[in-house]
Amino acid sequence: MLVDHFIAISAELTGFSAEELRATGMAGVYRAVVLERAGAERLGRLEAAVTGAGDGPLGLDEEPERELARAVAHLWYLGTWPGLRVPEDSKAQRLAGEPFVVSSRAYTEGLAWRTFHGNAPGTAAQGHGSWSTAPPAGATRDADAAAPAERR
Amino acid sequence: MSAPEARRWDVIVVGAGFAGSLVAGQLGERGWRVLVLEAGHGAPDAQQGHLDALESYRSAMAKVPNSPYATSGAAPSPDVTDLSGNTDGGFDAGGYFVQRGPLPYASGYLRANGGTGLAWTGLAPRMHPEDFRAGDFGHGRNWPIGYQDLEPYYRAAEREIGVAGDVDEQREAVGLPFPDGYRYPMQAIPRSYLDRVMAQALDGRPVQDPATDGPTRLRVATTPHARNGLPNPAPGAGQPAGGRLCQGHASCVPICPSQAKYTPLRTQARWGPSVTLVTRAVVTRVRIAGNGRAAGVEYQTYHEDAATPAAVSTHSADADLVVLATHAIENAKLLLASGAANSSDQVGRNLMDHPVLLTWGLMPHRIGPYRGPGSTSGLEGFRFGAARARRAPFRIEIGNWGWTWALGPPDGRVAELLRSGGPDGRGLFGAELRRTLGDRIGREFAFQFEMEQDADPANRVTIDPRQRDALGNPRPVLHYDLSDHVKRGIAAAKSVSDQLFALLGAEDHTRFEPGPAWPGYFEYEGRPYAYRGAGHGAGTHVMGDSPATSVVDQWQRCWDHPNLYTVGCGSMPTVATSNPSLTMAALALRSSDEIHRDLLARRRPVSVRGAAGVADPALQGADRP
Ligand SMILES: Cc1cc2nc3c(=O)[nH]c(=O)nc-3n(C[C@H](O)[C@H](O)[C@H](O)COP(=O)(O)OP(=O)(O)OC[C@H]3O[C@@H](n4cnc5c(N)ncnc54)[C@H](O)[C@@H]3O)c2cc1C
Ligand code: SF4
Repeated sequence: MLVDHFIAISAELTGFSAEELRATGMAGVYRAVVLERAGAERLGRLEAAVTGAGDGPLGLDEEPERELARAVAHLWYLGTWPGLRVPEDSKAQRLAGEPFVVSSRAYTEGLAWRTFHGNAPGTAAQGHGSWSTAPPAGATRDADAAAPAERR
Repeated sequence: MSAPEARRWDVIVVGAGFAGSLVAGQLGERGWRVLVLEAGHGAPDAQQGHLDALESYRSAMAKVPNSPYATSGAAPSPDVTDLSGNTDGGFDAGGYFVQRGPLPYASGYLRANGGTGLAWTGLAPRMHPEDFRAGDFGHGRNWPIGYQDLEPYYRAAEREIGVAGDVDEQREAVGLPFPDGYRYPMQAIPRSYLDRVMAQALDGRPVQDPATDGPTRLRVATTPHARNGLPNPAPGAGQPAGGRLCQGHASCVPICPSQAKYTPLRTQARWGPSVTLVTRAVVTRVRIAGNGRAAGVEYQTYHEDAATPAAVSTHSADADLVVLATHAIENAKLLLASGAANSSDQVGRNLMDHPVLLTWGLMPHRIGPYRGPGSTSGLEGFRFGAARARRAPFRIEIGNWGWTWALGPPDGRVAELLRSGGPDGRGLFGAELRRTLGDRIGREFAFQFEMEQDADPANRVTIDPRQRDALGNPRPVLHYDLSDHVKRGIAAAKSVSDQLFALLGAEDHTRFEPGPAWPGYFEYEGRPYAYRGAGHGAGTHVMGDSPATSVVDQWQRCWDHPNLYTVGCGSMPTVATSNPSLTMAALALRSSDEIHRDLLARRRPVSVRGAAGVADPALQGADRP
């Protein structure tokens, strides 16, 4: 499915797993935003560049791809479309530049907060006094998961 | 309800914000017929209005204090986004204010039903007894009343707005006198994890303030809040004043989803039937009669957002007594536009705020920022004492929402890493992006140094017939600057900050440079600094003990007009170092008692009036705790 493809490259770009991304319920909406603002062709080139890179470093040498990659990650991390400087597709040209919050739901699902096991301000009741306790230890563990587990 | 014009009111209250809602409630409770005229929009259904505001906030690009609320060009609100710094120093001001001073007045306020009291943070500390005598230290003015005059009203205000706090801690760490056995209505809001880490590193440690001879010992003390904590079971304490328990949404500014934070809408919900509210009613003038008494007000109503002259109609209403409660700057503007209350030439002068020095950095370990209220504790040791004569005193708030106030929400940090992070400086992606952001944002914290600004007559609000808003009403023209006394305080605060960072082993990321983000940039003794505005506008209708040097008397009654009261932080002769609204609320409750006495005196001239200074048994409501 096309959304699966979008989720796959989004996982590469954001560092969140496909399951984590899917669970936000935002993938379809974000893909539609990218198609509308950047055009199918440009998204296709980004998908090809990221997928083609295999296990190596992301194949983002060209600036238009890199810019769109940043925009896609930005979208997932903050729920906000940051705008593009170098729109190519003529139909998308008018829309590409304008930054906007996709929706209040998108704001709520922003991944930036999840990187430290937090929540976007004004979106989650957490229990009276919950802020007095140490932040979840898992935050440190899964963030460091890539390397140290084996080395020990 | 008959049309407001068709009848004569006992009292007209102008402004349904923090102070006006309290006064109207107090007078309504005693049966007076009160007309409240509010310039901004009001939601017909309070709960729906709250949900709409929440939705607006979550989907706003810039989550600034006014972002959740519907405002109108017919009654414009100044916004923090109106200001921008220039890269070579100096600043540009767009929007509602006309700024003509060397430095910007950097605070906004909100003109909507509920006023700035919708968007406020909700920190509710008392002033210290010494704060009422700042003039004795050679800077600013003395109050005509002291802490003891206000103390019963502090208790009444703490009950009315619902304050959570720890009396013993306030007594020990701040030196506040409380009556024996007094308890705040609710237990202290739990301190943040950051506060706990700080207390461990800082409590009992000395720092050297350049203005003092000996060291100052640090102590992390919790702050009283106007948000719901657990009810205090101790005798004499009240019950939570409505809304739910604070559950850490971390968005008190600008909107609390669970309505745990006090807003004036809570007081409005308790208004009795004799209080009538009219929204979208912009008062333009107080009418002063030949005998010097206020006869009533003139106002404009407008339809929805169409601020076109065609949609506006003008009205007039009469009352025995008029109360202006439109916020410090608007109150001064209204008095000036009415040619009222200014025999002292002090109307609009002495404009004060809390200039805030922010310092920010990364703690050595993750502390879980962006959870709970914006600040739950402070360092109180720099607010009092002889050093006050040498530099502006300050209160230190421990900032729990990362770098939001200093640099904006994490969005900026995300964008920066995407743009220029990574080894090649071309952007970071994937697992490395996730890990780096978690590590950095998870360690963000800030200190907020709130400086007392001394009353300077040259800092002022004026009006200029050429500067008008969409309805043709004058825009506030501001002249604002920081005195050397304040700048010395800011320099001392920065030095204290450096020592705090060292004690914490924290990475200091504080950096001030001229540019768009820092309209309040300045240099002092060769060093760069910048301030933000705390939103604590004060001093513009200053209270005093003489009509020659002040605008209002100790009851916030205009010296020049016996039935015109002007209430709010504008009456404060010193803004002190505490967040001012609890003191403003206490003053409003105290004035309500006097207004009640004034009204009774006019109806039944001699018999009911109590002896001066003695609480009249007829005055239910005063001195309640
Ligand atoms: C971001 C922010 C955070 C804050 N945090 C704190 C805090 O933690 N602690 C604290 O103590 N203080 C805080 N404050 C300050 C606090 O909000 C103010 O002190 C308080 O709201 C002032 O009350 P007021 O009644 O004078 O004005 P407001 O609450 O602003 O009410 C004034 C009302 O008058 C109306 N009005 C204006 N002009 C007219 C007119 N011509 N005709 C009719 N009506 C009119 C307005 O629409 C408004 O409803 C904060 C302020 C800001 C901006
Ligand atoms: S922390 Fe959350 S629940 Fe508590 S007052 Fe602030 S916004 Fe409301």
